[in-house]
This record gives sequence, C-alpha cells and structure tokens, in this order.
Amino acid sequence: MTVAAAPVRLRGARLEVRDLTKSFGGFVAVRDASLVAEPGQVTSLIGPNGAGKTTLFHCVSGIEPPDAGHTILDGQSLRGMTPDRRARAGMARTFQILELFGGLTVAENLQVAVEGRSVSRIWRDLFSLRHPDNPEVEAQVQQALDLVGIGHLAHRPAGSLPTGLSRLVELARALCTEPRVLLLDEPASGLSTAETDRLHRVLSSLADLGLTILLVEHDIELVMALSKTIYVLDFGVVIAAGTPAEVRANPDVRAAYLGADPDEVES
Amino acid sequence: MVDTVPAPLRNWGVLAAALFVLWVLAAAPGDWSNIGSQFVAGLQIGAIAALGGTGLVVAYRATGVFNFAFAGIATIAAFIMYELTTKNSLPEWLGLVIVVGGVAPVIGGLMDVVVFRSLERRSAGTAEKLVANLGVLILLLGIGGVIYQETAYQPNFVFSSKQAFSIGSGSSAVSVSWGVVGNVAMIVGAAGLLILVFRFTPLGRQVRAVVDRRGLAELNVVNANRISMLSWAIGAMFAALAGVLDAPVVGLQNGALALQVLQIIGVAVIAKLRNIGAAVAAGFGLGVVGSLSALIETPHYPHWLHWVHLPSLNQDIVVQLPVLSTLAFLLIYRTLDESDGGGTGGIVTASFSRARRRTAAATVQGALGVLAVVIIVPAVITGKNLVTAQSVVAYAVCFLSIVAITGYSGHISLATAAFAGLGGYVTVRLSNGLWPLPTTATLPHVPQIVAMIIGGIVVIPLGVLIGYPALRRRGLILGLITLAFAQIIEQFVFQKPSWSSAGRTITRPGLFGFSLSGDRTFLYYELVVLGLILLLVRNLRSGALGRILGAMRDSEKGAVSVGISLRRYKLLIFGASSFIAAIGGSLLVQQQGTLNLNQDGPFSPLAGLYWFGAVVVFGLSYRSGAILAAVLYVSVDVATGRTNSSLIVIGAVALFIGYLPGGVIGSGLRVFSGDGIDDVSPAQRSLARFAAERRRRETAPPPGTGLKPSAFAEKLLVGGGE
Repeated sequence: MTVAAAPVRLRGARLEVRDLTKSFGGFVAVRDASLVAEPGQVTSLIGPNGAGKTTLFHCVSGIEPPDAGHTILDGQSLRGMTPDRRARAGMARTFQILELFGGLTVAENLQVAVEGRSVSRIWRDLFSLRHPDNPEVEAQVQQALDLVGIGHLAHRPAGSLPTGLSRLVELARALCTEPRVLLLDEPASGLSTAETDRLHRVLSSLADLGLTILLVEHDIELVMALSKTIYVLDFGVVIAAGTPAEVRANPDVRAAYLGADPDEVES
Repeated sequence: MVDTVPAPLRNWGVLAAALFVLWVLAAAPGDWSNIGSQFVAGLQIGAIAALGGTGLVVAYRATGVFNFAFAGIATIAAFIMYELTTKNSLPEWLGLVIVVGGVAPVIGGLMDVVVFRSLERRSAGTAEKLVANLGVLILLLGIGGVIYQETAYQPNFVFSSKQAFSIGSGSSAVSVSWGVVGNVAMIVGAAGLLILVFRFTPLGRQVRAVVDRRGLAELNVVNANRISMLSWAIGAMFAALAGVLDAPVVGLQNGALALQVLQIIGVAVIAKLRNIGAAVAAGFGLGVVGSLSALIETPHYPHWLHWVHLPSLNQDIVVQLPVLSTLAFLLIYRTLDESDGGGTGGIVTASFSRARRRTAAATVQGALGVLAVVIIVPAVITGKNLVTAQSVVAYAVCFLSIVAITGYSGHISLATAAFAGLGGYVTVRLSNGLWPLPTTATLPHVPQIVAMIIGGIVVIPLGVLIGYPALRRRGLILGLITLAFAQIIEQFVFQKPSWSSAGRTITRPGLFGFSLSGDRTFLYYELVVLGLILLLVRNLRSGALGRILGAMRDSEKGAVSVGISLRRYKLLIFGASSFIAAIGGSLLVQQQGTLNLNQDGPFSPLAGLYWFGAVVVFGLSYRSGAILAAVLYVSVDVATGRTNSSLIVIGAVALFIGYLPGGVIGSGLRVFSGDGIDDVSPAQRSLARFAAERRRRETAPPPGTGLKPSAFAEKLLVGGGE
C-alpha cells in the first residue's frame, strides 16, 4: 500500500492499560492486566471465551468502573472519566453484543456519532422551525459507510440488518467519531469471507494511517495477519505477550488456547 | 450499566437520612406512655401491608411482571365484600371465603389466560407486560368507578374490634382486639404456607424453573401455564385480602382505596420484589414505625422559619412513610429488576423524520387541512361540545408530555399528572396573588398566561430532579420511582391544606386587554398553545436532537460510546417533558376554572397511570396518538354521561397491547402503508432517497477539505487495495 504518500495522517494515541483489576461479586474477571497499544499498529487481545476480554474493554472504555488500575491515553490517566468523555477524548469502540440504534437508519446511526459530541446545534434544534441536514455531516457519513463497504445500506433501518452487516455499521459509526483509538470487540464474527477480507484491508489501512487499534477477535487467521503485538488473556490474567510468531510458539498459550483442541478456537 | 452516581455521594445521602431520623427522634421526644397500644395498632395496619406486599412479591417472582393491578383487585374485592356483608348481611367469614377464595382467584386466573399467557408465548418485552398489567388496573378501576362513582362507603370490619386478650395489667395494660389477632393470623399463616411451598415442594421448584426459563422448564415437563395461572391466582388472593381488610380502616371509595393500596408497593420494594419473608417483615415494620411516629411531637421551629407553614412531623411521617421509603429503597438498591433491562420494545416504535419526509406540496396541503380543522371546527360547534373540545385540547397537551418522555426517549414516567397538577397549582396560586408555597404571604396578582409560563418553568427543575435516577434506571424501576414521586407530591402538596386550601379558583385569561373568557375564544387560545407545544415536541424528534434522543432510547451503551452525554440529554428530556405537562395542567385548570386536587381529580397519581395507559393505547411514538388519546379520554365520559367509562375502554384495549405494537396508530400505519415500523423495510422509498442523494452529491462539489481522512482512506482502498 502507498502509505508513504499519504497527504493526511490520522493522529493515533498510545493506549496503556496498567494493572487493571475487575471483579463481579467474588468472581475476578480481570486480574492485574497490563497492556500497551501503540499508534499505527493493530494490537490484539485473544483468549478463550470468558477470559475477560470484553470486561477489559468495558473497563477501558469506561462502561464498567474497574476495581483497580488505570487506563492511560497518551500519558493522561482517564480515571473517573465517564464513557462519553472517553469517547470524546478519542476512544471509539464496537460491541460484541451489538449496540446499534435499531430505530434509526444506518446513516442516522453514523450522523449521531458525528453530531453527538457538539452541543451548539442542540439548543438551536430545540427552538427552530427547520432542521436542515448538514451536507458536510452527510458526506462524512457516506464516506465512512463506503469505506467499510456498506454505502448502499445508508437508508435501511439499522435494526433490520443481519449481524455481520450490523458489525460493519458499528465499525463505521466508531470511525465517525474521529477516533484516535479503536477498540474492536469481535468485529469479524458473523461476517462472510468477502466481508472479512474487506475488514482486514480496512483495519490494516487504518492502522497504516496512524490509528491505534486494539482488537479482540476469535478469527485467529485475521489476528495473526493483522497484529504487530498480541496479548493472551486466560482467566483474567495476561499469560503471554509478543509478536504473532512468539505467541504462537508460547507453550502456555498453546495449552490455554491455541493448542490441544482447535475446535475450541472457533465459536 | 453506566455508573454515573458516585458511590460516596450515595453513601453520604444514606448517612444524612439516618442522621435526620435520629435528629427527629432526639429533638422531638413525645409522650411515649402509649407505646404499647400504638405498637399493637401498628401490627394491625402492618399485617394488611404485609399481605399486599406478599401478593406483589409472589406475582413478580413467579411471572416477572410487577402487578400494578393488585390495587384494582383489592378495590373490586372490597366492593364485592361490601355488597355481600355490609349491604346484604352475609356473615363476614362467608364473605371472606367467597371473595378471597372464589372471586379473587378467578380474576387472577382470567388475567393469566386472557392477557399474560399470550404475551408470554410471544416473548413480549417487559414494557408490554407492564402496560397490559396497567390495563387490568385501569379496567378494574373503570368498572368500579362506573358502578360506584366516587361515593365513599363504610364497610363493616371483618374481625370484631372487641378485646381478645390484654397484655399486662392496671393502667399500662394493652388491649389486643380480635381485629389485630385476625389480621396477624392471616398474614402469618398465608405467608408461612407460601414460604414452605416455595422452599420444600416440587411445586416451588417448578415455579423457580418457570421464572428462570419458561421454555426450558416446559421441555422438562413442567406445566408452565398451570404454574403461572396459579401464581396470578395466589397474587390476586393476597391483593383481595389486603383490600377487604383495608377498606373498613381507610373507607371504601373507588380511587381513594386504590391509592391507599398502591402505597403497599413500598413493602414489595423493600423486599427487593422477591423475598416473601422480607415482605412480611417490611409490612409490619412500616406499620409499626408509622404508628409509633404518631407519638412524636413536632419540634418547635425557629421563628424565622414561620414564614412558611412547616410540616408537622408526626403527621407527615405517619402518612408518608410508605411512599418515602418506597422512593428511598428504589434509590438505594442498585439491582432490583432482573428482567430485560427496561427496554420499551413493543409499545414504542421508531419512525424517524427522515424516513417520512414529505414533499413541499404535501406539507402545504397538510398544513391547510389542519388549519381548516382548527379554525372551522371551533367555529361550528357549540355549547357542551365546545366545553368538551376545550377539555380535549388541554389533555392533549398533557399527553404530549408522555409522547416526549416515553415515546421519544424510552423512559417510563407515571408522574405526568403530578407535573401537570403542579403547573396548574402554580398558575392558580400566582394568579390569586399567592406564593406557590405553604404560606399566606401575598404577591401582586400575576396575569394567567404569565402565571402559566412561570408554572411551566418552575416545574422544570423538579422534572430534572426526577431525571437523575433515570441516569441509571429504566423500565419498571423508573416507573415505580416516578409513581412514588407522584404520590409524594399528592400527599405533601396537593392534600396539604397549608399548601393549597386558599385560592383554588381562577378566571380565564386575557391578552393585551382582549378577553379570552368566551368558550370559543378560549378554545382558540388553547389551540394556539397546543400548536406551540406540538412544534416543541416535533423538535424533540427531528434534527440532530431527535436522532440523539432516538439513539439513546435504542442503546445507551452505543450512545455513550460515540460521545453522547446521557446526563445532558436525559435531564433535557425530563425537563422538557415536565414543562409540557405543566403547561397542559395549567390549561386544564384555566379551562375548568378551579384547581381540583381531589384524589379522584385529574392530577392524582392514579390519573398519571390512566394517562400513560391512554397514550400507550393509541401510540406512544406519535403526536397524533396523544391527541386521539385525549379525544377518547374526554369524549367517552361525555358520550356515556358517566365518569370513568373511558377507563374501561382504555383498560380493555391496553390488555391486548401485545397485538398492537406501537399502539393503534403504529399498528394502523403498518397495516395501511407499511410505514412506521422497524421491521418493515421501506425499501423503495429508501432507494429513491438514496439515489437522489447520490445524484446531489455527485453534481455538487465535495464538501469539506482534507480534514476527513476517511475520504483518503477510501481512495487508498479503492486505488491500492482492489
């Protein structure tokens, strides 16, 4: 790819998770987890079902308050920040269990992401007679949709889409927040082979452009192909970290996840 | 869910409440020599609360539905008991057997068979079940209201008030009546039996299995239908028992008794909606503490506070303990409702402005049509119809508040009538030159229209206050919080002579020296207000604001993940909706000429339930739904000449809300135009729109500059990747 010739670069941010712990009642979902995701790279987090990946995402994005530990974005601790402030600080995410706005059209889902951060229009909207659409916003929305390959779905109700396409809408919506860090929770599950290929290309170009991407994914092939660094989570603990080759070779990882029964990798 | 209330704040709140109670007890010691007999009196009342609470817990535990209808069942049971025993002199025990053992289980069973079984089969959402249940309440109270109107009856006590035995001797002896013994024996026996059944029999295990996973339990040969029918029947029997025992104590009047019984919700809430033992304890606890607090003397307030008339503590604690504790525990418990998280699926539909954009010509035609109606209709109708129309318009404004809060943003609020009442209250007080406070200090008289606007604005902070709990709660729990709020306003403001005895009448307004008092002019004035409110409500659904509120309604997690501040928009919608309700209430008061704060009046907590039901029936997501609901709510009563008859219609339709997704209008739109429903894809319209936009974009120069990196990324992908 012709990244070197890029006239624009996306400003990624260094995401650091330090000693994060979260428990529900007596169950420790994440224990002392630390990881770093660098700008311009895809960093992946893998592990068996129930390893605590989604919980870690919830803590990082502020949806669940952690019991201990920090999330640090470009050297600044996000402790105590609400999820919406984190989003405005440049942290965008998708969800394993979809959180689309089902009653809105696909395009409106993205419009909300573009407009939701500014307040000025809201008061005007409340008291004015006309609510013209902002063509700049519409263009941005259409570009994001085209980018992930679902431009033709712009005016479908989001609640009517199958899972795979919904995941792409969530990704496009996340891109509309002008993110510096993308947290993607199983974006490829439910996608067709062609859609996965497209996702692969999109993610790798976004990383090449400078974004920080933290990926949770069960499609090991995709993870290995995209990631510069992989963290392996097992029972809430980071048991290994390194390049795809190093992780593949790690005996603990093989035992916990990749090894014995490859069928388990799926689902 | 999103954690927005910091834990320290909550803890400080609890501590402050505890300190306040200690202060009351320490600063206001009273005459405690009657403690024994007050305690016993508390047991008698507490037993009734425990019965009602247990019934709620049983129904919720076994069916997952909070049984608002219990207040209706209690009322109907009390009326039948009155007919049998007081009027037709049947012995009390026989009446009890017929009502509690016969009528109540039949009502419960019918509720299951007719209403909830099909909802269960269709995996209906919590909101639909809640509305269907409210439908039962509205229907029963409608029937009671039509038959007995608002007359108060005094039924005989079920158990004799003669002394059964006494504790101690001499002057400190405490007499215990058969009434106390009977009530306590009822609850202890019934609850004990239930606990034993739940814990130790296969039936109990089956109930738990059915609640957990109905389908799975059925696969394992549990007859789920039988279990849930049994649970509804048992719940109804407890409700009937509570009603029959409570009616002689508080008096038998259709709405008033239901309001009393609704306070028992606090008992179930304290028991976390699930624990029978805790419900019994909570019932007795509330009864006894309330009874004992009658002994407390009100402290002497400092002189400078005499400007306002302060509450007498003992009275207020007795009367308000149940609802205050309901609210407190709803706020303290972090997890109560274990159902599907409080979505409004089924009763709310999404049809957004973009999908329904009309052409300019259609807009003009529509506007002309509406203008014709609002100018011509008021001009041709006369006399009684004019008054009916005035009433419809005022209610329509009130109901639009429900469309805004529940239809557009997905929050169940049952306090609309309370906000409307406050708006009316402020208007009346100000226009009479009185502060809207418990004081007789005077003000200059404020013109009615100005007073109405002030009323709307004054209520906004209260709406915002109710919005705070909604930052973390939705669905049933928010509904209960708002209902408790309405009950508190009812008892603390509306029923307090110090707040509202003086200045209850209002004359119709004038504008720039032009009187609006004639029936026809007043109707035009109301229509102008309605038009302005309709515009405001439309703005809550269109443009960026409408999209954001819709997004928040569909997924709060999704909304925060794109940087939307839930706090800002939730408080905004609660503030806006309370403003609208207050304006509507003010119009209603101006129309009626008096502020009717009676318990069967337009602003009681029950009215809030009725209004919600009425709007749901027609369609929460439609402005036209609010208007049609107002037409029905007012005109059925006028047409039949009997108040409350509209409730029967509303209640009966609400029972079957499961078959009417989006209400009458939502379902009608789906049938006739394939519009307005999420799962019907308006494919052709979207396609046309999409093509049009594409054309426009291609002919226009691309907006924005290099700022949008995604454009570049797209080029990159299209150019280099494929």
